[in-house]
Amino acid sequence: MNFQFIIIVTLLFLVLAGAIILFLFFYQNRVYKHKNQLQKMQEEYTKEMLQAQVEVQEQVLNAVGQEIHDNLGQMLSVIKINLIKLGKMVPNGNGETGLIEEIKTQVSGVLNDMRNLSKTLSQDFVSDFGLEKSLEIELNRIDKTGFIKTALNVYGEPFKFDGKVEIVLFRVCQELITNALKHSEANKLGVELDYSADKLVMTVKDDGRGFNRSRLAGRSPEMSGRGLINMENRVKIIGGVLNLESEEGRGTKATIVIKPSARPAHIT
Amino acid sequence: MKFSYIAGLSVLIPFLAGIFKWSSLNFTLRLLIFYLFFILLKESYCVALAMNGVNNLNIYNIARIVTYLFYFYVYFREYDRILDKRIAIAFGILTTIIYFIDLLYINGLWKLNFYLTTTGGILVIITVALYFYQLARKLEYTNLSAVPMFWFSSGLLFYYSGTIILFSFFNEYMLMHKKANFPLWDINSILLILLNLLTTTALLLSSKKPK
Repeated sequence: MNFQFIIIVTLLFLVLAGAIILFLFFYQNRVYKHKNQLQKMQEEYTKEMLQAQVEVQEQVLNAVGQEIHDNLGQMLSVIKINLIKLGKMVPNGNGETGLIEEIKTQVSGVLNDMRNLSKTLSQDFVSDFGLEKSLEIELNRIDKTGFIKTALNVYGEPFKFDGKVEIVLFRVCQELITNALKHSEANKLGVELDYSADKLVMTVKDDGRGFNRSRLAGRSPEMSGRGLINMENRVKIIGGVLNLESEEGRGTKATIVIKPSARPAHIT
Repeated sequence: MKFSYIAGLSVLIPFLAGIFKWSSLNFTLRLLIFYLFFILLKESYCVALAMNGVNNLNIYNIARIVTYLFYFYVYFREYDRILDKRIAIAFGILTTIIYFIDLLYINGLWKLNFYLTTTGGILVIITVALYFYQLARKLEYTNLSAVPMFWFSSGLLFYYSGTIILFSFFNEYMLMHKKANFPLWDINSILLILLNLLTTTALLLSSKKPK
Protein backbone atom coordinates (compact mmCIF):
# COMPACT_ATOMS: atom_id res chain seq x y z
CA MET A 1 0.00 0.00 0.00
CA ASN A 2 1.46 3.30 -1.06
CA PHE A 3 0.75 5.87 1.65
CA GLN A 4 2.39 8.59 -0.40
CA PHE A 5 -0.14 8.01 -3.17
CA ILE A 6 -3.03 8.24 -0.69
CA ILE A 7 -1.69 11.50 0.73
CA ILE A 8 -1.10 13.06 -2.70
CA VAL A 9 -4.57 12.10 -3.98
CA THR A 10 -6.18 13.26 -0.73
CA LEU A 11 -4.34 16.58 -0.98
CA LEU A 12 -5.41 16.91 -4.60
CA PHE A 13 -9.05 16.32 -3.65
CA LEU A 14 -8.78 18.86 -0.83
CA VAL A 15 -7.27 21.45 -3.16
CA LEU A 16 -10.10 20.79 -5.59
CA ALA A 17 -12.68 21.25 -2.82
CA GLY A 18 -10.99 24.49 -1.76
CA ALA A 19 -10.93 25.67 -5.38
CA ILE A 20 -14.67 25.03 -5.72
CA ILE A 21 -15.40 27.04 -2.57
CA LEU A 22 -13.09 29.88 -3.64
CA PHE A 23 -14.62 29.89 -7.12
CA LEU A 24 -18.07 30.24 -5.58
CA PHE A 25 -16.86 33.16 -3.48
CA PHE A 26 -15.27 34.96 -6.43
CA TYR A 27 -18.18 34.19 -8.72
CA GLN A 28 -20.66 35.67 -6.25
CA ASN A 29 -18.43 38.69 -5.86
CA ARG A 30 -18.31 39.20 -9.62
CA VAL A 31 -22.08 38.79 -9.89
CA TYR A 32 -22.47 41.35 -7.10
CA LYS A 33 -20.17 43.87 -8.82
CA HIS A 34 -21.92 43.35 -12.14
CA LYS A 35 -25.38 43.78 -10.63
CA ASN A 36 -24.22 46.80 -8.69
CA GLN A 37 -22.91 48.38 -11.88
CA LEU A 38 -26.17 47.65 -13.69
CA GLN A 39 -28.17 49.12 -10.83
CA LYS A 40 -26.02 52.27 -10.82
CA MET A 41 -26.47 52.66 -14.58
CA GLN A 42 -30.21 52.21 -14.22
CA GLU A 43 -30.37 54.77 -11.39
CA GLU A 44 -28.31 57.20 -13.44
CA TYR A 45 -30.61 56.69 -16.42
CA THR A 46 -33.75 57.21 -14.31
CA LYS A 47 -32.22 60.33 -12.79
CA GLU A 48 -31.39 61.78 -16.18
CA MET A 49 -34.85 60.93 -17.47
CA LEU A 50 -36.44 62.67 -14.51
CA GLN A 51 -34.23 65.68 -14.91
CA ALA A 52 -35.15 65.88 -18.57
CA GLN A 53 -38.80 65.52 -17.59
CA VAL A 54 -38.55 68.37 -15.08
CA GLU A 55 -36.77 70.57 -17.65
CA VAL A 56 -39.32 69.81 -20.37
CA GLN A 57 -42.18 70.45 -17.97
CA GLU A 58 -40.71 73.81 -16.99
CA GLN A 59 -40.21 74.78 -20.62
CA VAL A 60 -43.78 73.75 -21.51
CA LEU A 61 -45.24 75.63 -18.56
CA ASN A 62 -43.16 78.69 -19.42
CA ALA A 63 -44.35 78.54 -23.02
CA VAL A 64 -47.99 78.09 -21.99
CA GLY A 65 -47.70 81.00 -19.51
CA GLN A 66 -46.11 83.19 -22.17
CA GLU A 67 -48.81 82.23 -24.68
CA ILE A 68 -51.59 83.06 -22.20
CA HIS A 69 -49.99 86.38 -21.37
CA ASP A 70 -49.10 87.45 -24.91
CA ASN A 71 -51.89 85.99 -27.00
CA LEU A 72 -55.03 85.38 -24.97
CA GLY A 73 -54.26 88.34 -22.73
CA GLN A 74 -53.87 90.64 -25.71
CA MET A 75 -57.11 89.40 -27.26
CA LEU A 76 -59.00 89.95 -24.03
CA SER A 77 -57.50 93.43 -23.75
CA VAL A 78 -58.72 94.20 -27.26
CA ILE A 79 -62.19 92.90 -26.33
CA LYS A 80 -62.17 95.16 -23.27
CA ILE A 81 -61.17 98.20 -25.36
CA ASN A 82 -63.91 97.40 -27.87
CA LEU A 83 -66.39 97.12 -25.03
CA ILE A 84 -65.37 100.57 -23.82
CA LYS A 85 -65.84 101.87 -27.37
CA LEU A 86 -69.20 100.12 -27.59
CA GLY A 87 -70.22 101.65 -24.26
CA LYS A 88 -69.51 105.11 -25.68
CA MET A 89 -71.54 104.38 -28.81
CA VAL A 90 -74.63 103.32 -26.91
CA PRO A 91 -76.68 106.32 -25.65
CA ASN A 92 -76.80 106.87 -21.88
CA GLY A 93 -79.79 105.63 -19.95
CA ASN A 94 -80.27 102.76 -22.31
CA GLY A 95 -80.55 99.23 -20.79
CA GLU A 96 -77.60 97.93 -22.84
CA THR A 97 -75.12 100.15 -20.96
CA GLY A 98 -75.51 98.13 -17.76
CA LEU A 99 -74.97 94.87 -19.64
CA ILE A 100 -71.85 96.23 -21.36
CA GLU A 101 -70.46 97.35 -17.98
CA GLU A 102 -71.10 93.89 -16.57
CA ILE A 103 -69.33 92.21 -19.47
CA LYS A 104 -66.43 94.66 -19.07
CA THR A 105 -66.11 93.70 -15.40
CA GLN A 106 -66.24 90.00 -16.26
CA VAL A 107 -63.57 90.40 -18.95
CA SER A 108 -61.41 92.35 -16.50
CA GLY A 109 -61.80 89.50 -13.98
CA VAL A 110 -60.85 86.85 -16.56
CA LEU A 111 -57.92 89.00 -17.70
CA ASN A 112 -56.73 89.31 -14.13
CA ASP A 113 -57.07 85.56 -13.45
CA MET A 114 -55.22 84.77 -16.65
CA ARG A 115 -52.37 87.09 -15.77
CA ASN A 116 -52.08 85.40 -12.37
CA LEU A 117 -52.19 81.95 -13.97
CA SER A 118 -49.61 83.01 -16.53
CA LYS A 119 -47.37 84.22 -13.72
CA THR A 120 -47.56 80.98 -11.73
CA LEU A 121 -46.75 78.98 -14.83
CA SER A 122 -43.58 80.94 -15.37
CA GLN A 123 -40.30 79.69 -13.94
CA ASP A 124 -39.34 83.29 -13.08
CA PHE A 125 -42.37 83.58 -10.83
CA VAL A 126 -40.96 81.22 -8.19
CA SER A 127 -37.45 82.65 -8.63
CA ASP A 128 -38.68 86.21 -8.20
CA PHE A 129 -41.13 85.75 -5.33
CA GLY A 130 -39.69 82.76 -3.48
CA LEU A 131 -41.53 79.65 -2.34
CA GLU A 132 -43.78 81.14 0.37
CA LYS A 133 -44.99 84.12 -1.66
CA SER A 134 -45.53 81.98 -4.79
CA LEU A 135 -47.62 79.51 -2.80
CA GLU A 136 -49.57 82.35 -1.25
CA ILE A 137 -50.39 83.81 -4.68
CA GLU A 138 -51.28 80.36 -6.03
CA LEU A 139 -53.58 79.60 -3.10
CA ASN A 140 -55.22 83.02 -3.37
CA ARG A 141 -55.85 82.39 -7.05
CA ILE A 142 -57.50 79.05 -6.23
CA ASP A 143 -59.41 80.56 -3.35
CA LYS A 144 -60.95 83.11 -5.72
CA THR A 145 -62.42 80.37 -7.89
CA GLY A 146 -64.71 79.59 -4.97
CA PHE A 147 -64.32 75.80 -5.39
CA ILE A 148 -62.30 75.29 -2.24
CA LYS A 149 -61.14 77.23 0.82
CA THR A 150 -57.38 77.41 1.10
CA ALA A 151 -54.95 78.36 3.84
CA LEU A 152 -51.19 78.76 4.00
CA ASN A 153 -49.36 78.48 7.31
CA VAL A 154 -45.66 79.08 7.70
CA TYR A 155 -43.88 78.01 10.89
CA GLY A 156 -40.29 78.58 11.96
CA GLU A 157 -37.64 80.76 10.38
CA PRO A 158 -37.88 80.41 6.58
CA PHE A 159 -34.67 79.80 4.65
CA LYS A 160 -34.06 79.79 0.95
CA PHE A 161 -33.32 76.70 -1.13
CA ASP A 162 -31.54 76.59 -4.43
CA GLY A 163 -33.82 78.18 -7.07
CA LYS A 164 -34.25 74.88 -8.95
CA VAL A 165 -35.21 73.08 -5.74
CA GLU A 166 -37.84 75.71 -4.99
CA ILE A 167 -39.28 75.37 -8.51
CA VAL A 168 -39.63 71.58 -8.12
CA LEU A 169 -41.19 72.01 -4.66
CA PHE A 170 -43.63 74.57 -6.02
CA ARG A 171 -44.55 72.43 -9.03
CA VAL A 172 -45.12 69.31 -6.91
CA CYS A 173 -47.22 71.39 -4.54
CA GLN A 174 -49.18 72.75 -7.51
CA GLU A 175 -49.80 69.20 -8.73
CA LEU A 176 -50.94 68.07 -5.28
CA ILE A 177 -53.34 71.01 -5.14
CA THR A 178 -54.63 70.24 -8.66
CA ASN A 179 -55.16 66.59 -7.67
CA ALA A 180 -57.11 67.70 -4.62
CA LEU A 181 -59.25 70.00 -6.76
CA LYS A 182 -59.89 67.34 -9.38
CA HIS A 183 -60.46 64.23 -7.31
CA SER A 184 -60.91 64.93 -3.60
CA GLU A 185 -64.22 66.83 -3.49
CA ALA A 186 -62.68 68.61 -0.52
CA ASN A 187 -64.00 71.79 1.07
CA LYS A 188 -60.75 72.86 2.67
CA LEU A 189 -57.16 72.64 1.54
CA GLY A 190 -54.20 73.66 3.68
CA VAL A 191 -50.54 74.07 2.89
CA GLU A 192 -48.02 74.18 5.73
CA LEU A 193 -44.37 75.10 5.56
CA ASP A 194 -42.64 74.07 8.76
CA TYR A 195 -39.02 75.25 8.85
CA SER A 196 -36.69 73.85 11.47
CA ALA A 197 -32.92 74.03 11.77
CA ASP A 198 -32.26 70.93 9.74
CA LYS A 199 -35.26 70.55 7.44
CA LEU A 200 -38.36 71.91 5.81
CA VAL A 201 -41.55 69.90 6.15
CA MET A 202 -44.07 70.92 3.53
CA THR A 203 -47.56 69.54 4.05
CA VAL A 204 -50.51 69.67 1.68
CA LYS A 205 -53.69 68.32 3.18
CA ASP A 206 -57.35 68.30 2.33
CA ASP A 207 -60.55 67.13 3.98
CA GLY A 208 -61.76 65.31 0.88
CA ARG A 209 -62.84 61.73 0.26
CA GLY A 210 -59.31 60.31 0.32
CA PHE A 211 -58.27 57.18 -1.53
CA ASN A 212 -56.70 53.79 -1.13
CA ARG A 213 -53.44 53.76 -3.05
CA SER A 214 -53.52 50.01 -3.64
CA ARG A 215 -56.80 50.40 -5.52
CA LEU A 216 -55.31 52.88 -7.97
CA ALA A 217 -53.52 50.24 -10.04
CA GLY A 218 -55.32 49.31 -13.22
CA ARG A 219 -57.11 52.63 -13.56
CA SER A 220 -56.51 55.31 -16.17
CA PRO A 221 -52.93 56.63 -16.36
CA GLU A 222 -53.97 59.84 -14.68
CA MET A 223 -55.66 57.98 -11.83
CA SER A 224 -53.38 54.98 -11.63
CA GLY A 225 -50.95 56.49 -9.17
CA ARG A 226 -48.26 56.99 -11.79
CA GLY A 227 -48.60 60.73 -11.20
CA LEU A 228 -47.85 60.11 -7.53
CA ILE A 229 -44.80 58.02 -8.38
CA ASN A 230 -43.71 60.78 -10.73
CA MET A 231 -44.00 63.33 -7.95
CA GLU A 232 -42.12 61.04 -5.56
CA ASN A 233 -39.33 60.73 -8.11
CA ARG A 234 -39.14 64.47 -8.73
CA VAL A 235 -38.89 65.11 -5.00
CA LYS A 236 -36.26 62.39 -4.79
CA ILE A 237 -34.00 64.05 -7.34
CA ILE A 238 -33.93 67.26 -5.33
CA GLY A 239 -32.95 65.21 -2.29
CA GLY A 240 -36.32 65.13 -0.54
CA VAL A 241 -38.86 62.50 0.44
CA LEU A 242 -42.54 62.60 -0.37
CA ASN A 243 -44.87 60.68 1.88
CA LEU A 244 -48.56 60.31 1.13
CA GLU A 245 -51.15 59.34 3.71
CA SER A 246 -54.72 58.82 2.69
CA GLU A 247 -57.70 56.80 3.75
CA GLU A 248 -61.05 56.56 2.08
CA GLY A 249 -63.33 59.17 3.65
CA ARG A 250 -60.55 60.73 5.71
CA GLY A 251 -58.83 63.12 3.35
CA THR A 252 -55.30 63.14 2.05
CA LYS A 253 -52.09 64.39 3.55
CA ALA A 254 -48.90 64.73 1.50
CA THR A 255 -45.68 65.52 3.31
CA ILE A 256 -42.42 66.52 1.72
CA VAL A 257 -39.35 66.52 3.92
CA ILE A 258 -36.25 68.19 2.56
CA LYS A 259 -32.99 69.28 4.13
CA PRO A 260 -31.56 72.76 3.53
CA SER A 261 -28.42 71.21 2.07
CA ALA A 262 -30.50 69.67 -0.74
CA ARG A 263 -29.20 70.65 -4.12
CA PRO A 264 -30.48 69.55 -7.50
CA ALA A 265 -28.14 67.11 -9.19
CA HIS A 266 -27.89 68.70 -12.63
CA ILE A 267 -31.18 70.47 -13.20
CA THR A 268 -30.53 73.36 -15.51
CA MET B 1 -6.14 9.98 24.84
CA LYS B 2 -5.62 9.33 21.14
CA PHE B 3 -5.96 12.14 18.64
CA SER B 4 -8.71 10.26 16.79
CA TYR B 5 -10.77 10.00 20.00
CA ILE B 6 -10.43 13.76 20.56
CA ALA B 7 -11.42 14.38 16.93
CA GLY B 8 -14.49 12.17 17.32
CA LEU B 9 -15.55 13.91 20.49
CA SER B 10 -14.99 17.36 18.93
CA VAL B 11 -18.62 17.07 17.83
CA LEU B 12 -19.35 18.39 21.31
CA ILE B 13 -18.28 21.89 20.12
CA PRO B 14 -20.98 22.38 17.42
CA PHE B 15 -23.50 20.63 19.67
CA LEU B 16 -22.91 23.15 22.47
CA ALA B 17 -22.86 26.05 19.98
CA GLY B 18 -26.20 24.84 18.64
CA ILE B 19 -27.71 24.65 22.11
CA PHE B 20 -26.42 28.17 22.80
CA LYS B 21 -27.99 29.52 19.59
CA TRP B 22 -31.10 27.31 19.72
CA SER B 23 -33.62 30.16 19.66
CA SER B 24 -32.17 31.62 16.45
CA LEU B 25 -31.92 28.33 14.55
CA ASN B 26 -34.26 27.38 11.75
CA PHE B 27 -35.84 23.93 11.48
CA THR B 28 -32.97 22.43 9.45
CA LEU B 29 -30.32 23.60 11.89
CA ARG B 30 -32.37 22.44 14.87
CA LEU B 31 -32.54 19.07 13.23
CA LEU B 32 -28.77 19.23 12.91
CA ILE B 33 -28.50 19.59 16.69
CA PHE B 34 -30.43 16.33 17.19
CA TYR B 35 -28.14 14.67 14.67
CA LEU B 36 -25.06 16.05 16.47
CA PHE B 37 -26.41 14.66 19.73
CA PHE B 38 -26.79 11.27 18.11
CA ILE B 39 -23.19 11.48 16.79
CA LEU B 40 -21.95 12.56 20.21
CA LEU B 41 -23.55 9.47 21.80
CA LYS B 42 -22.13 7.27 19.04
CA GLU B 43 -18.62 8.73 19.39
CA SER B 44 -18.65 8.36 23.17
CA TYR B 45 -19.74 4.74 22.90
CA CYS B 46 -17.24 3.99 20.12
CA VAL B 47 -14.36 5.60 22.04
CA ALA B 48 -15.30 3.54 25.08
CA LEU B 49 -15.35 0.34 22.99
CA ALA B 50 -12.07 1.20 21.24
CA MET B 51 -10.34 1.91 24.55
CA ASN B 52 -11.31 -1.57 25.64
CA GLY B 53 -10.09 -3.03 22.37
CA VAL B 54 -13.56 -3.94 21.12
CA ASN B 55 -14.37 -3.68 17.40
CA ASN B 56 -16.76 -0.76 16.99
CA LEU B 57 -17.10 -0.80 13.19
CA ASN B 58 -20.66 -2.14 13.46
CA ILE B 59 -21.66 1.08 15.24
CA TYR B 60 -19.78 3.15 12.67
CA ASN B 61 -21.56 1.40 9.80
CA ILE B 62 -25.00 2.06 11.27
CA ALA B 63 -24.07 5.66 12.07
CA ARG B 64 -22.76 6.15 8.55
CA ILE B 65 -26.04 5.27 6.83
CA VAL B 66 -27.92 7.46 9.31
CA THR B 67 -25.44 10.28 8.53
CA TYR B 68 -25.87 10.00 4.77
CA LEU B 69 -29.64 9.86 4.97
CA PHE B 70 -29.61 12.85 7.29
CA TYR B 71 -27.47 14.87 4.87
CA PHE B 72 -29.70 14.00 1.91
CA TYR B 73 -32.74 15.04 3.92
CA VAL B 74 -31.10 18.36 4.91
CA TYR B 75 -30.29 19.17 1.28
CA PHE B 76 -33.71 17.96 0.17
CA ARG B 77 -35.06 20.75 2.39
CA GLU B 78 -32.50 23.30 1.24
CA TYR B 79 -32.88 22.79 -2.49
CA ASP B 80 -35.20 25.13 -4.38
CA ARG B 81 -35.65 23.14 -7.58
CA ILE B 82 -37.87 20.07 -7.71
CA LEU B 83 -35.26 18.27 -9.82
CA ASP B 84 -32.61 18.74 -7.12
CA LYS B 85 -35.04 17.53 -4.48
CA ARG B 86 -35.70 14.41 -6.55
CA ILE B 87 -31.97 13.84 -6.89
CA ALA B 88 -31.61 14.03 -3.09
CA ILE B 89 -34.40 11.43 -2.70
CA ALA B 90 -32.79 9.20 -5.34
CA PHE B 91 -29.43 9.46 -3.56
CA GLY B 92 -31.09 8.47 -0.30
CA ILE B 93 -32.70 5.39 -1.85
CA LEU B 94 -29.50 4.42 -3.68
CA THR B 95 -27.40 4.73 -0.53
CA THR B 96 -29.87 2.62 1.47
CA ILE B 97 -29.79 -0.13 -1.19
CA ILE B 98 -25.98 -0.09 -1.27
CA TYR B 99 -25.91 -0.21 2.53
CA PHE B 100 -27.98 -3.38 2.65
CA ILE B 101 -26.03 -5.02 -0.17
CA ASP B 102 -22.72 -4.15 1.51
CA LEU B 103 -24.02 -5.25 4.91
CA LEU B 104 -25.68 -8.52 3.84
CA TYR B 105 -23.52 -9.70 0.97
CA ILE B 106 -20.12 -8.00 0.90
CA ASN B 107 -18.45 -6.59 4.03
CA GLY B 108 -20.93 -7.52 6.74
CA LEU B 109 -21.37 -5.78 10.06
CA TRP B 110 -17.87 -6.04 11.52
CA LYS B 111 -15.88 -4.62 8.66
CA LEU B 112 -16.01 -1.07 7.33
CA ASN B 113 -18.82 -0.95 4.73
CA PHE B 114 -16.49 0.19 1.99
CA TYR B 115 -19.07 0.43 -0.79
CA LEU B 116 -21.46 2.36 1.40
CA THR B 117 -18.69 4.69 2.57
CA THR B 118 -17.29 5.38 -0.90
CA THR B 119 -20.59 5.70 -2.74
CA GLY B 120 -22.16 7.71 0.07
CA GLY B 121 -19.14 10.03 0.16
CA ILE B 122 -19.28 10.65 -3.59
CA LEU B 123 -23.04 11.27 -3.42
CA VAL B 124 -22.61 13.72 -0.55
CA ILE B 125 -19.97 15.59 -2.60
CA ILE B 126 -22.41 15.75 -5.55
CA THR B 127 -25.19 16.89 -3.20
CA VAL B 128 -23.01 19.68 -1.83
CA ALA B 129 -21.90 20.64 -5.36
CA LEU B 130 -25.58 20.91 -6.38
CA TYR B 131 -26.19 23.15 -3.40
CA PHE B 132 -23.22 25.35 -4.37
CA TYR B 133 -24.56 25.49 -7.90
CA GLN B 134 -27.89 26.65 -6.48
CA LEU B 135 -26.11 29.42 -4.57
CA ALA B 136 -24.18 30.47 -7.68
CA ARG B 137 -27.32 30.39 -9.84
CA LYS B 138 -29.28 32.69 -7.56
CA LEU B 139 -29.91 36.04 -9.21
CA GLU B 140 -29.61 38.12 -6.11
CA TYR B 141 -26.29 38.60 -4.41
CA THR B 142 -25.83 36.49 -1.32
CA ASN B 143 -23.17 37.27 1.21
CA LEU B 144 -21.90 33.70 1.43
CA SER B 145 -19.98 34.21 4.64
CA ALA B 146 -23.31 34.96 6.34
CA VAL B 147 -25.07 31.81 5.05
CA PRO B 148 -24.88 29.05 7.70
CA MET B 149 -25.46 26.27 5.16
CA PHE B 150 -22.51 27.49 3.11
CA TRP B 151 -20.13 26.85 6.01
CA PHE B 152 -21.69 23.50 6.81
CA SER B 153 -21.52 22.49 3.14
CA SER B 154 -17.88 23.61 2.90
CA GLY B 155 -17.09 21.41 5.90
CA LEU B 156 -18.80 18.43 4.26
CA LEU B 157 -17.01 19.04 0.96
CA PHE B 158 -13.60 19.16 2.66
CA TYR B 159 -14.32 16.13 4.84
CA TYR B 160 -15.64 13.83 2.13
CA SER B 161 -13.13 14.96 -0.52
CA GLY B 162 -10.31 14.30 1.90
CA THR B 163 -11.47 10.97 3.29
CA ILE B 164 -12.87 9.21 0.24
CA ILE B 165 -9.49 7.82 -0.82
CA LEU B 166 -8.53 7.14 2.77
CA PHE B 167 -11.50 4.86 3.42
CA SER B 168 -10.87 3.06 0.14
CA PHE B 169 -7.70 1.59 1.58
CA PHE B 170 -8.91 1.01 5.13
CA ASN B 171 -10.22 -2.52 4.71
CA GLU B 172 -7.18 -3.52 2.64
CA TYR B 173 -4.90 -2.31 5.46
CA MET B 174 -6.98 -4.10 8.10
CA LEU B 175 -6.78 -7.31 6.10
CA MET B 176 -3.00 -7.02 5.77
CA HIS B 177 -2.12 -5.88 9.29
CA LYS B 178 -5.07 -7.22 11.37
CA LYS B 179 -5.14 -4.02 13.38
CA ALA B 180 -7.17 -0.85 13.31
CA ASN B 181 -4.48 1.78 13.99
CA PHE B 182 -4.42 2.90 10.39
CA PRO B 183 -1.38 5.24 10.00
CA LEU B 184 -3.30 7.78 7.96
CA TRP B 185 -6.18 7.94 10.43
CA ASP B 186 -4.90 11.38 11.55
CA ILE B 187 -5.99 12.83 8.19
CA ASN B 188 -9.55 11.73 9.00
CA SER B 189 -9.23 13.22 12.49
CA ILE B 190 -7.99 16.59 11.19
CA LEU B 191 -10.77 16.77 8.61
CA LEU B 192 -13.35 15.73 11.18
CA ILE B 193 -12.24 18.54 13.49
CA LEU B 194 -12.40 20.95 10.51
CA LEU B 195 -15.94 19.72 9.72
CA ASN B 196 -17.00 20.24 13.32
CA LEU B 197 -15.44 23.71 13.43
CA LEU B 198 -17.17 24.76 10.21
CA THR B 199 -20.45 23.32 11.52
CA THR B 200 -19.92 25.40 14.68
CA THR B 201 -19.38 28.50 12.50
CA ALA B 202 -22.61 27.73 10.64
CA LEU B 203 -24.56 27.44 13.88
CA LEU B 204 -23.05 30.57 15.41
CA LEU B 205 -23.80 32.60 12.28
CA SER B 206 -27.41 31.55 12.25
CA SER B 207 -29.99 34.27 12.75
CA LYS B 208 -33.77 33.86 13.05
CA LYS B 209 -34.62 33.42 9.41
CA PRO B 210 -36.62 30.22 9.08
CA LYS B 211 -36.60 28.71 5.64
